[in-house]
Amino acid sequence: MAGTIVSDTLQDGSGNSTATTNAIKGSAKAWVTVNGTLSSGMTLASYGVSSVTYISSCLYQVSFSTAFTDANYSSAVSSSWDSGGNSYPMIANIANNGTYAPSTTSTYIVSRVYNNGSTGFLVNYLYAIFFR
Amino acid sequence: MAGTLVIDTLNASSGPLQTNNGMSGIAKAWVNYNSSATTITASWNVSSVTYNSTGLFTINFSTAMPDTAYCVVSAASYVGGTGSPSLMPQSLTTGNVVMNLGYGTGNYNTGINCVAIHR
Repeated sequence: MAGTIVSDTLQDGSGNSTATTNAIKGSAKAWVTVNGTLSSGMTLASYGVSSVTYISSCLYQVSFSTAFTDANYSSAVSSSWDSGGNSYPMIANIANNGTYAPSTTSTYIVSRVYNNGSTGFLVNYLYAIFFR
Repeated sequence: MAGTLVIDTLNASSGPLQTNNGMSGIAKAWVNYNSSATTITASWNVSSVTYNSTGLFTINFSTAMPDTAYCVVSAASYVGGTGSPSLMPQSLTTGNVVMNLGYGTGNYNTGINCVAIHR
């Protein structure tokens, strides 16, 4: 049976407690681990994410299972090193350029070589987490 | 009516959740701010974001962290062919964290900046 419990504070048997609001506002609404080198099945694990799609030029679209109320969510992204054996340090960024920008239903992640914004490589692992 | 719920495990229809996971696993603060306009777009447990100098911003917490061992994760927006910026923590106190938005050898202000704090 499902239902709703109304409480301002959550506390465990050891006396640790937190305001319920903290759990609501601080909980990630979505997260995903991606293998950026795969053409399909690139989502290795996720929560609140319906799909990850490779667009082009090391640009990935992350679609949410449940749409956000607005596009103001806070994102955190990170990347492994490049998959080509070049040992390039990679930077993962959220795209914010015209078509490729955060929306309520999806956001875009781009992987680039650090200090060389025009050069992208596929990466074995991309991580993203979203709060709102 | 509200109150305090003392419980070790929460059971949703999708499965159980250890209450401790809900306490330790949640972000203690997060923010989405625009470093060009130096305005907060959305946030939780962040009282303000202060512009210090180019690329340097102080994120002030509404409720301080218990120590400075907290985990900082972040993202900045990609701004085109010349910029893959890195948003990095520069200094941490219990009351705030200074973030550095850099590219190459310089700092700059641009676009969406996001930070989440775990402890």
